[in-house]
Amino acid sequence: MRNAEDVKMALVLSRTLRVGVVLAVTAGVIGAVLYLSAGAMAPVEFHEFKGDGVLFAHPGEVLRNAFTSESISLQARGASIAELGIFALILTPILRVVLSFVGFLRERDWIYVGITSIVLASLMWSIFLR
Amino acid sequence: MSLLLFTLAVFGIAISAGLLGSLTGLGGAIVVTPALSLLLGVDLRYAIGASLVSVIATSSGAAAAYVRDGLSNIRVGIFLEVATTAGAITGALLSGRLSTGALAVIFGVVLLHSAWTISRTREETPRPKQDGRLARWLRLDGTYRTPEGEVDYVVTKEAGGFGLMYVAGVLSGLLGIGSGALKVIAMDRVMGLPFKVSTATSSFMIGVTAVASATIYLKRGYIRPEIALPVMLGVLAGSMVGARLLPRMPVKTLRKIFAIVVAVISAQMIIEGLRGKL
Repeated sequence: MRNAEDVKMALVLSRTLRVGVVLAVTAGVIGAVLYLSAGAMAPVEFHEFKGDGVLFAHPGEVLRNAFTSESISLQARGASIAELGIFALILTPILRVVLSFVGFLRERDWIYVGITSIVLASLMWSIFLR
Repeated sequence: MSLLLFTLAVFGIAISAGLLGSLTGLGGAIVVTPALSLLLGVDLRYAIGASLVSVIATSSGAAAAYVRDGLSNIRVGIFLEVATTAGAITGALLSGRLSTGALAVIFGVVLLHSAWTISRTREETPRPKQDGRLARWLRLDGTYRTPEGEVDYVVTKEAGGFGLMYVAGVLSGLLGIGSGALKVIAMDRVMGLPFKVSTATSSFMIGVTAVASATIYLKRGYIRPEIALPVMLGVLAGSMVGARLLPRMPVKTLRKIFAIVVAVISAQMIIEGLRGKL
């Protein structure tokens, strides 16, 4: 029951997932080493949600802090690189849905093109909502 | 607490949670959230955000292997993801309106159910002979490889499974868990898919489900790298070690012990939640 196209698609999806996790772990470890080496003794406190993490919610800003911004501390730079790893991880399943959409399109499997676009639409909605 | 000490403590908790999660089949996230909030006093919302990130990592890692081996049913997965993503968005939006105390109580109840599931041995569900009409139209039926050769299977009760998947999505978005157990129940017990295919397809779906609510949490600032990162790395490491150890462990005895541990944790979550301490 598994046709050749389906098997090919499965391999592409499998590789995407693996690469995404490896990228996320790599960026995460580099970031953690940086922010720990810079501020190992800095006090932290997460007992109460303060909402200051929204700082990390803007991909463009995180990207700038991770690589270009000159005025930023090593600790903040490390945390930004770590956050990029988390972004990579979040993008992985989204990319997986996009790739299956393309796969079904190439198979001219219109029912599944439709179903996949509904899933994609709800993901987009959750990203761009508000 | 210093950043270094905090990171090490979170990492240690996450490794144990990943280990326990893979040995019981519960997944690491459901243990890491109560451990972070009960042991380290981390705000429940940060803990939920962090565990959601670890859910995406472990399920993507596991699914990479399952999908390659053709064990995940991709069509079933994508069809049911319509329900789980809608549920996850509902859950994430709902979580912003609930107090942490209420979240803790719901978490405790779900955890209690998990304790009950792992304490029992799984019984084989009878496999359906005839597929449903929707399943045939959507070509959900599939084939998977077993030691005895290729086995065909059919899918039934699509609507019931779809509805249960919406509930799984809501719980995932609300509590930051993968709700793999409920996903497996929907596929294995309701829709009649083989157990192995159900767990493999559940892993395949969990990442997308978790992302639908993770993006909402990210925007609210619930996901902090200082917590999410050691949780992700620890759970990933713990579950990889757990998967290696699994064939050589006295699984039945372990499940009994873990069931008690999980029951105690869930009782504590419910009590602390009711006292408004979390």
